[in-house]
Amino acid sequence: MSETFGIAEWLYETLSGDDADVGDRVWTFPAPQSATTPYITFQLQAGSDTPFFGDTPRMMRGTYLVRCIDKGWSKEDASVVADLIDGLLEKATGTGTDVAILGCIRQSPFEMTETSDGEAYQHVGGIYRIIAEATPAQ
Amino acid sequence: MSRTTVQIQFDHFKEINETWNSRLGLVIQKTANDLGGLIKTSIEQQGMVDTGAYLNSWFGEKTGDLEAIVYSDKEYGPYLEYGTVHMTDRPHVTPAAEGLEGPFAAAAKEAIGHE
Repeated sequence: MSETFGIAEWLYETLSGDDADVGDRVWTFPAPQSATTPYITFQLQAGSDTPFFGDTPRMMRGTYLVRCIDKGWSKEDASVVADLIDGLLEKATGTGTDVAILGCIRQSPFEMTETSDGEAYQHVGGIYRIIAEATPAQ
Repeated sequence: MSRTTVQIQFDHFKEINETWNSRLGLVIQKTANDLGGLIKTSIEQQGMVDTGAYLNSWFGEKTGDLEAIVYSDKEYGPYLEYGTVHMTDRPHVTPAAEGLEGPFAAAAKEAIGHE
């Protein structure tokens, strides 16, 4: 199984650990148009592999955008959720299918305001770097 | 009782600094040029060219001896890179920048004589 699948699985489970009403609203980006705001999305922005010879497993470095998206002109609620996201992910480790997450650190905060047809959406979160090791099933 | 003093003086830091700055400045400028080129290639490869306005909105600029920026003056650039509620993402900046991390580090080391 692809490492990105295992990482997505780990991100979904970890972010769903948020019990502040948003934990049941976690999506791989993009969320369905019918999704209720605020919600959390994550997506792979870039990735690279470090291959090794022999039995040493391959390492993958992925850059993920993890954010809360909320409707409205205020960033306040989205910022609260962004803090929860950071609490769950910063320096977290874990496992997903065929992958071990060795580390997750925030590279930079993320903020974007989207305006469309007179409506605004706030995107607040962070760019996270995830280091993972492939652990293929034996 | 006599005392022998040996004083070792190395006062070439200024020259070294100037040489390194000059070489590293070139590396940074080249990296900025390469980054701009990679971003534009990715924009084309992902079929994001309609009028060409976004493609041609990318610029590189030297902003200091050891600093350069690569930027687009189109405010919808982040929408394309990260996606919106109504539009999926098409990353073209992050992969380009991360792809140059290794070559930049190698070129910087070579520039200061630490290959």
